Parts: sequence; C-alpha cells; structure tokens
Amino acid sequence: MKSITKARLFVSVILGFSLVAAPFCLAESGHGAAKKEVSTHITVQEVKTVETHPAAVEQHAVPAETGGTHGEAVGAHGQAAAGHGEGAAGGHGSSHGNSLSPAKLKDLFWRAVNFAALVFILVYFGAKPIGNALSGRRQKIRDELEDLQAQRDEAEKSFKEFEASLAGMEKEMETVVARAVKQAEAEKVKILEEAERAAADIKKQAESAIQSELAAAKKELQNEVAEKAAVMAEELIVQNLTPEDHSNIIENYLDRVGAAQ
Amino acid sequence: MKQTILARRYAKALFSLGKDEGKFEEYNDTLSALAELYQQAPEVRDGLTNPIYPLEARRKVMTAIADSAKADAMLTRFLGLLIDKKRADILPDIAFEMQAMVDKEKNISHGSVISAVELDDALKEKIQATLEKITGKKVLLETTVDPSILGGIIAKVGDIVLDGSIRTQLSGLKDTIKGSE
Repeated sequence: MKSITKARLFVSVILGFSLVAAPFCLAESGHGAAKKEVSTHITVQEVKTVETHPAAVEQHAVPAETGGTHGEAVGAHGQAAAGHGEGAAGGHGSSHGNSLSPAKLKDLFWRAVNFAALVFILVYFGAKPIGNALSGRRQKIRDELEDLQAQRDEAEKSFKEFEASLAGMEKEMETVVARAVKQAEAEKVKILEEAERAAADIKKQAESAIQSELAAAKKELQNEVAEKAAVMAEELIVQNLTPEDHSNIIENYLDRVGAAQ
Repeated sequence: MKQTILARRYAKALFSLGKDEGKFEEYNDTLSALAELYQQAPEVRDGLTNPIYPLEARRKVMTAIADSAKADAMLTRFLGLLIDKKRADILPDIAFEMQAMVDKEKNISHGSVISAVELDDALKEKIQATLEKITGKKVLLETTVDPSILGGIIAKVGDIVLDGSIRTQLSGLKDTIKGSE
C-alpha cells in the first residue's frame, strides 16, 4: 500500500509539473510548427528545439557549403532573426486575443487524455515494480539492520565471553604461577636437602678418610716402633748375653716345657 | 727324587726278613753303612747304577761291596736283587726307611736340637730327658749351632717342635706390638 501511495504521489508531481509546463507548450506551438502528436513532455521539448531553428541551421550551413562571404551570412541570419521576431509577435498576439478557441480546447483535451493515458500506463505498469522495488529495498535495509544488530549482539556476546575468558585466564595464570612458585619452592627445599645430604656424606667420607689415614699412620708407626724395638733388643741381647745366660734360658725353657707336660 | 713308597716296600721286606732271623739291627747297620758309602763315593754310585756297565758287572760290584761290609747271604741277595731290578739308586731311601722301622721297633726317636751356642753335656742330657718325657720314647739327639736364633733352643722330635729361641720370642713381641691398638 505504501508503494502505491508513493507511486500516486510521484504521478501527482508529474501531473502538476505538466500542468505548469502546459502554457509554455501552447506558446511554443505558435512558432509555426504545430506538431500534434505529443507523446511525452521531453519529446515535445526536443521537437520544439529541432523545429524552431531549422532556418538558422540552414543559414549557418550555407556559408560553409558554398564558400560565400561573411556579409551574406550575416544578412541571412538577420532575416531569420527578423522572421523569428515576427512569428513570436504574431503568436503572442493571437493567444491573447483568442485563448479558448475550439482548436486549443481540443488540443488541451487531447493533451489531457494523453497525459491521463501516460499516468494510467505509469500507474498500471510501474506501480507494482516500483512498489516491489521499494518494498524489497525496505526489506533489504531491514534485513541488513537486523543482521547488523545480530552481528552487534554477537560481537557484544563475544566481547563478554572474551572478557570472561580473559578474567578466567588471568585467574588460571595466577593459579599456574602459584603452582610454579610452589613447585620451585619444593624443588628448592629438595635441592637444599640433597646438598646438605651430599655435604654430610662428603664430610663423613672426609672424616672416614682422615680416620683411615690416621689409623694407617698409627699402624705404620707401630710397625716401625716394633721393628726398631726388635732390632734394638736383638743388639742388646747379642751384646750382653753370656754363656751362663744361654744355659739359664735353656734350662728355664726346659723347666717350663717339662712342667707343662 | 725320593722314592719313599718304593723304598718303604723294599725296607719293609728286608726288615721283616731280618726280624724273622733276629738280624734286623745288623741289616740296618750294614744298610746304613752302604747308603753312606753310596752317597759319599760317586764312583761306587756310578758302578752300581750306570747302564753302560753290564748288569753282571754291576752285580759283581755290589757283591764285592757286600762282602767288604761282611753282609750275610740274605743281605747279599737283597742287594743283588736291587741291581737286577735296577733299584740301586734308592739304596739311601731304603736305608732311611729301614732305620725308621728299626727305631720304631726299638721305640727310639731321632731328634734335632738347634742352639745359639755350643751345648754342654749336662744341657744335652737335660734336653734329651725332657724330650723323652714328652714323647715317651728314647730320643737320640743331633745338635746344631745357629747363632741367628740369638739364644735358647729349637728342638724337633718327629712331629713335635719345641721353639724356645729368643728370635721367636722377639718375633712374637714384635707381632704383639704391631697388633696392639
């Protein structure tokens, strides 16, 4: 319905424009070229332009074709201008003198008919496509608006989701960082414990090595003392033992052995 | 190389024959003298064992040696058997085993005493008496002087060893010092 209303409005504008332009069309018909078949306003204008200046065109064409002088061309142009002035004067004078003659009324009638036919044709054939086109465009714009609104809603939704995920990601990141810090602390404690254990082992090994070296040195010293003592005792025995001592030693030994048996 | 088992077998046979005839001490003395001769006289050893010489010649040498040692017929045949069986080289081993069997029969043990200085007779007798008391047998001692033992004695009788040397005591003292912590 709206498309039809708009089409009617469009036709009214054209009709008004035609009514306004009609007097001018009637005045132009006084120049001698009473052209009766009028299809459209634009066609009338074009016909008027072509038919009101043929003489001038011909006059301008003559010098070019014949190679005549410029003074002749000017003179011919002056005649054409004079004729134009006469025609115009005669036309205006007749219109003022007999404005509602039957011929003119008849012409007006046919123009009106022609215009009505034009309007009918336009309304009949053009209303539906124009209305459809306008309706389609409106629908398209509405769809586009709805799409844009949907996209906007979706974008807002995505933005909110992104904000939520961002907030969750920050929380998750904090959790990960906290976990990493906790693991690092545990690793630190573990490394410290291992280092302390290794240090204790090293200390224990060092103490063991020291004790071992000490024992070896002590043993070596004892051996050396024993060897020296044996050598010294041997020397003393050899130097100081008399034959009587030998006899006494043997007898004492025999007594011990005999007593043991 | 000492042929102990083989020598013991021959000695046992001779000792058994001598015991039957009551002459095992005589056989033992003769056999010991022949063994000493065999060890001290290379020419005798060569004449009894060298295969260059005919068996009959070696038998004659052995017979001559037996006659000079006044061996009876039994001992002479025994010595001839050693030549026939080519066992003259184990004559010292047979004498050793024979001596052991005779000593066992007479309840005699042979012992050795090592001392740092020469022992007087009183000490020898005391050592012998002590060893006879320990072993329960008559002990025949052989004394040796070895100054390296510093003092005291080392007596051996059979499997028994009595070490009363000062060197051993010093060694024990040294081990005690080394072993003490």
